[in-house]
Amino acid sequence: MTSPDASLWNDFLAGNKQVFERIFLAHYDDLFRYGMRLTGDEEVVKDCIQNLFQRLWQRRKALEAIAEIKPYLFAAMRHHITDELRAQKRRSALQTGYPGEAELTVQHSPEDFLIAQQLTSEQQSLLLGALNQLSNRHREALYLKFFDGFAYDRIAEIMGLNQQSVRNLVHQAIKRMRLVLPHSLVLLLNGLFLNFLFF
Amino acid sequence: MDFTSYSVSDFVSDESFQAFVANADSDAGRFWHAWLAEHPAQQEAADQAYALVQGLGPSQLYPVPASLKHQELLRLRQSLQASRTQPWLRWQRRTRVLVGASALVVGAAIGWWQWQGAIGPTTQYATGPSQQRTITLPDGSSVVLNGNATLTTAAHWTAASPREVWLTGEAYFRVTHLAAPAVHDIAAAPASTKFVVHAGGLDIAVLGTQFNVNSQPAGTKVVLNSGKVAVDRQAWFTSENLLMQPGDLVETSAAEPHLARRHVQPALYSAWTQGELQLQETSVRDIVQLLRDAYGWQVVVTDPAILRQTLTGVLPANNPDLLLPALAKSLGVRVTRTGDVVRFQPLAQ
Repeated sequence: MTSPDASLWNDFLAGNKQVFERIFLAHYDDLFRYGMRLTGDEEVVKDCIQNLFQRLWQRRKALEAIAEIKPYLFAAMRHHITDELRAQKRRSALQTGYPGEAELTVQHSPEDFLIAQQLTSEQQSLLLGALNQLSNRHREALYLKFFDGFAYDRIAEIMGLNQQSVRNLVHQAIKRMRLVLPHSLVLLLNGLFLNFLFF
Repeated sequence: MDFTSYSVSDFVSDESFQAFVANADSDAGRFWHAWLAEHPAQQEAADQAYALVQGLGPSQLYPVPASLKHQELLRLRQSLQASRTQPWLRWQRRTRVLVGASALVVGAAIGWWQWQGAIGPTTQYATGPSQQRTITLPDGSSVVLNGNATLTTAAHWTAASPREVWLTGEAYFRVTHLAAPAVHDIAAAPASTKFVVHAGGLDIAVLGTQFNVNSQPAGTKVVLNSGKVAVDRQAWFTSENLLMQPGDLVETSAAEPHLARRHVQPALYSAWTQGELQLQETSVRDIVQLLRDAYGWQVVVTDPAILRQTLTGVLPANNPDLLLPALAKSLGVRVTRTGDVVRFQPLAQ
């Protein structure tokens, strides 16, 4: 059994340009949003998506079959953005004569979390505050999990970690958020999202 | 698994619990519903976890303009066509224009040289603005060139080589049928019997027929009056072709490169060769379409009732300053033109 994604991907690997363009169009908006989350610079995001797809087409003979396209593209996008930001940093370091940090991390700002609109602005800012206490990696894991809805194994692919580490990241993140979230908010949230046990 | 010792964080991190929050009607949803009914002690933790998963979920998406992906697809096609082996980085963009320009020059030179080699010396026919010219080709076909058009052909035609011409601007073709009368399949016909017009990225292949080609920088339109025409469009990523029927208009444009077909009144589109539009119960809708297609105007009709009127008679085709007042007079409406925008309004307004 091959998934629809898998057979699309195989057609692209076989050199089918129409399928390649379909993949591009189908995932463009998601990749654009993901890129905007990783770096706020629209030009960088557009260039990275271009580079990503140019590379895919040029290297299609060397690529392998995959089961799901979106996480694969997200992982590639993350690499392209990281490379581009690193290169930018190197250039600015050359200009200022001050070496930048060796490791570059993609910043996930808490504002990127589009918290459920039903919340009041006060509740939203409380939730944002809790997210703000987290490390960047924790936020990224939460984001891929709850915003993009990826499964743990896919998040592991994207972040280049093993599955257990991703689970741990999500678990720790929630624990830490609960420590800083006032109990009242948690209760409020409960009230808002109905007592699901009694429908 | 023992869920009785699950903490709030355990619930939140559990994929099956997440599936339950996303859709209570799923298998996971039914499982958790039943499980929690049996374990009321865990209800509070599960409630909190439920609220957290909900609270973190997406509510609105970062807006991405709808046209962006299509623009970016064109960009991707172009860059792959340039077939650079290294991906572009942003700082390389500045040099890209320069490289692109020189590549164009080199490419054009090579293309010209190969083309010269392939078909030998050429003959070129050209017209000035508001000038028309009728050319009879060596095979007996005739071509009427409209203003500002150029037609290039091989200087020497042989019986064995395919008949080929290159067109910019507008022209009306009457092509002589060379194949045996029984041959009607363009694809199967011997190359020497075909007549091919190359215009604005299209290859228009015919055996013998009458058709109009209008190739402008913004796009190319082919209108078939009689017979059959095969239109081919080759681009890096796509190759399209379709077989036109009489009355079809097929177009491609920079904005919308894919071949598009619609039905028109073909006689209106070749009216410029006669200098007059012969109207026979012709609907204003068809005339408006012609003004858009052939004259390149934006036409605004404020009252849809105007579109439903029909006209019979003869109008001057080639002089807009005569055509529009004549249209206005025969329809009993007001027609004004500002630049490229033509407006049809009821007289009362």
